Amino acid sequence: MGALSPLFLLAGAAVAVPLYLHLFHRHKTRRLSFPALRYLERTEREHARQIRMRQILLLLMRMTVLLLVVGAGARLFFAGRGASHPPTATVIIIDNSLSSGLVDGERRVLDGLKELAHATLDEATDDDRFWVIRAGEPWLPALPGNAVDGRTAVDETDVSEAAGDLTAALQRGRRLLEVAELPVREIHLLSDLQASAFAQSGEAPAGDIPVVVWSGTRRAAGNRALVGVTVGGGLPPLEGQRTQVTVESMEALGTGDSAHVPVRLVVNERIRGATTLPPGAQATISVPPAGSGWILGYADADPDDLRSDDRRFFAFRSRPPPRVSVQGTAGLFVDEAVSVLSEAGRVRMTAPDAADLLVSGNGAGLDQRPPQGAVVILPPADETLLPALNRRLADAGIPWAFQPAPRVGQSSLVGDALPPVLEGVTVRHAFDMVPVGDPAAPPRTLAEADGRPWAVESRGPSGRRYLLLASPLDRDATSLPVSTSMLRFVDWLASEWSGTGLALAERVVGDHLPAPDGATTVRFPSGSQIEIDGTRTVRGTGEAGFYRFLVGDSTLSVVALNPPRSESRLEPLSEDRISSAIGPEVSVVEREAEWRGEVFRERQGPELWNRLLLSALLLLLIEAFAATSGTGSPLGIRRDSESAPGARPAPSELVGSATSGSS
Amino acid sequence: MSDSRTVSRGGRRADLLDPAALSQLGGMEFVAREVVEGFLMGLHRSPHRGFSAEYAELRAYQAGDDLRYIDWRMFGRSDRYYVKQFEEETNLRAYLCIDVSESMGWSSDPGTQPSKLWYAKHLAASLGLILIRQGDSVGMAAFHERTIDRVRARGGRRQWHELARRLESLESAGGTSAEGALKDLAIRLRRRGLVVLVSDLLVDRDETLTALKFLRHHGHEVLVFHVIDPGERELPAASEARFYDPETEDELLVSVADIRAEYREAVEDALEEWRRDLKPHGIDYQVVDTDSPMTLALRAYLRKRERLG
Repeated sequence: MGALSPLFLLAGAAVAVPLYLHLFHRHKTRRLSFPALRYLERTEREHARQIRMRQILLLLMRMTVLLLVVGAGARLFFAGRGASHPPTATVIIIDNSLSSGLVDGERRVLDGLKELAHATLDEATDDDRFWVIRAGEPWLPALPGNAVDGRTAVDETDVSEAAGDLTAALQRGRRLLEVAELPVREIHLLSDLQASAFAQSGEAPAGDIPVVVWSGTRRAAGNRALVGVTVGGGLPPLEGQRTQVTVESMEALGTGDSAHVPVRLVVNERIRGATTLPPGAQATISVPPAGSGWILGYADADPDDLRSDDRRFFAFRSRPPPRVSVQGTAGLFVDEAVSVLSEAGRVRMTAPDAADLLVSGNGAGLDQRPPQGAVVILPPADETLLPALNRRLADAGIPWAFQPAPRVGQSSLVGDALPPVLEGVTVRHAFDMVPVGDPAAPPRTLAEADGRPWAVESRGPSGRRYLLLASPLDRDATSLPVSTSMLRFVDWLASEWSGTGLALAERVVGDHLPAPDGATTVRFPSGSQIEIDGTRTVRGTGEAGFYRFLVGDSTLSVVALNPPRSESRLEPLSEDRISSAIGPEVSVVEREAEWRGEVFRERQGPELWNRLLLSALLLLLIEAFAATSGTGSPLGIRRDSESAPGARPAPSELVGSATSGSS
Repeated sequence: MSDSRTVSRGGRRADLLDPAALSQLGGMEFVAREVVEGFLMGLHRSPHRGFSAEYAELRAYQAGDDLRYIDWRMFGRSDRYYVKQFEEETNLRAYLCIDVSESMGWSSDPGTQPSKLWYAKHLAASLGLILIRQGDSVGMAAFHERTIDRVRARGGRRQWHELARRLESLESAGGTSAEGALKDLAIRLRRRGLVVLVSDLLVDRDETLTALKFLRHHGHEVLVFHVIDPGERELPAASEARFYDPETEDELLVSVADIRAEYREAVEDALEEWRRDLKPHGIDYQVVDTDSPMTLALRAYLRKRERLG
């Protein structure tokens, strides 16, 4: 039971009034002189107890009337299943991540979650507001709506092959509810509570908003998955070169499963090899040389209950090695990397005017740069050389200038468009890069260090791409030259960034894909095509497979997106972590039958004030009848003697008193 | 006095007046006289009226009157027939026993309703006047827990004035013990006579019955006037109250609503019990309500008197 005006309950103290009157003012009953008491005694003895009982009954009735009136004023309601609830702003988080596609018995986990979401919506009223957040598709907007809108959103929800970030979903739900107009708020979390879906640390994402959590599917399930496929050790094979594809299976997580899984390798829709893999093992399959063009393939294992992670894709373009020219003092590490790649046949050294990629140390060679090639500009280690660099930049029409900046210590490279090859790279010293004019194209920051641009790309007046790095590539300035990423970085510059090819950097479903220059359309794995908008970024990549960037009908590039490895790990969140991972106001439901009763925790029944007032009125009538019942004729007319001689109405009220005999 | 005469002459006999109105007429002697004269005026047309050797008054002849009693002298003077009316000669000794206990002073409506004692005193005065006019001797005894006043039985108008004076002075007080007064009276009366008890009978029932039977045993005629206030027959409209006996201060919490009907029956049962217990012993019992005219009580006396001859 609850009360909408609980302060009114304080008025319940008024029940003390009749109680006080009953206990301490009983003597105020009228006392009347009546000589014929013996006639009364003949009948009244047996009634004395009844009178006391009636007085107690009247007392109870009066107290009850008071309580009923107080209850009506406090707007009481009964809580409970089947009862209504106050208008509630509700965020339904459906975890439709890859793991929700697990077939449990006869149905997918997601289907069970959707049924629970329907149960929530069945309990909804017209005054409720709903937002449906799909944890596996965070790029989809969560629009407010009524129960019908919510039901539509739930029905449209299907399994995504992206990872589900429930921590982010809860934070998003909290932000939505914090600005909701309705005072009562609630989050319904429908998930398999995969441990990997929650952040390892941090504050409870839901804050103090009540969260009803479904944990009925929170149990460990065995899963066999392919968690990796690597082509050429991470470097895409070149035209006419034999290469190898390495396939990795996920280790058995506490299930003791050691059975080998048959794996097939399919390249350009032809099976190129097959093997068997025990859990946690790798197998390498040779792929014969291919001609120039896009090579698409995947490794495929026998399906199990979670099928989305049984196949991993790869795509690369078989091409001649890109032509690279290094000018000026790019640094020892750059020179060595280019030399290694050249010896491996990954790049070909050439003159600046014929290069696909010009690596310019301190602006050298900018005046010779090829009309079709891209250029990477590295600053000098000595800041006294910066004015010369800035002059060369200005001469080349690149509206940027380098300026000395204080050392700020070590910081990691970050950025929304950070290339995977730069992840984990730290920077100890960088110059400030300042725009000094209007660039021909909007600049794009690929990486930042300590809040300042570290890698900026744009296009010059002739349309050629350039990339400015804020640090020289030496050990004093950055960790990149002495890391394993250096070689891949230079290869990425030559093969991917310069536009001559696409590296095999692993991308997972859900990643944002930058559209290559010139692409007008992207074709999703399902076959649907979407025009590329001005952001030049493809979002909503919820399917695993090949994303083809097209120019008209021609394929410009292909990117393979694979299921996130974390989704293949089905370990549930431990019970002791639920509160810390979600929020302090958590209500965990394990049985479907209990779900309807647990949601809308501020549930209220119909307000009872009208029934309470009616009851109070009835009680008052009963009380009035009980207090005056039996008076018969209020005037005290003697019915049995009305016809008797001399009969007349008795006095209406007895105010008996002894009077003198002499009137 | 002129008002009272007007009342009588206007055809409204005082014996038929409501006691509440009667109490407004004046003092006891006047009221009693008016009552008695009004009562006797009504009796002149009654065939029950007797005749005695002592001439009392004349009245107009009416068909059926005995021709022997026509006053021919008046006929000669007025050319109208008058019949001589004689006071009956008896030697009856009557004693009026008046209960003056505290309960007798009670009235259910003191503003308008006379108390039981008022009614009893005026009834006694009226009876005394009738008796004296009939040539009987009348005495009086007033009692509550004991006899507090006594007047020896005598005849004559002076006796009635004395009776009226003594009755006038009575006031209610104390409890009630009719037994002692009645037995005392029985011992004092040497000749058999008429004993009239005027009381509300809120007394010890058995003892009072014993005393009354004791009087009968000594050869006295007994007439009991049970004076009752209408407020004692019917409970008031109060829903709940504490009733207390003014004599004993006993208290009773009563829910009037619950026992109204039962109380009414209890009163009737009590009255019926008195009547049932007294009748076998030749004791006349008459209930008189203090809101009823006194003529009812006087007629009861007359019936008794006629039986006595």
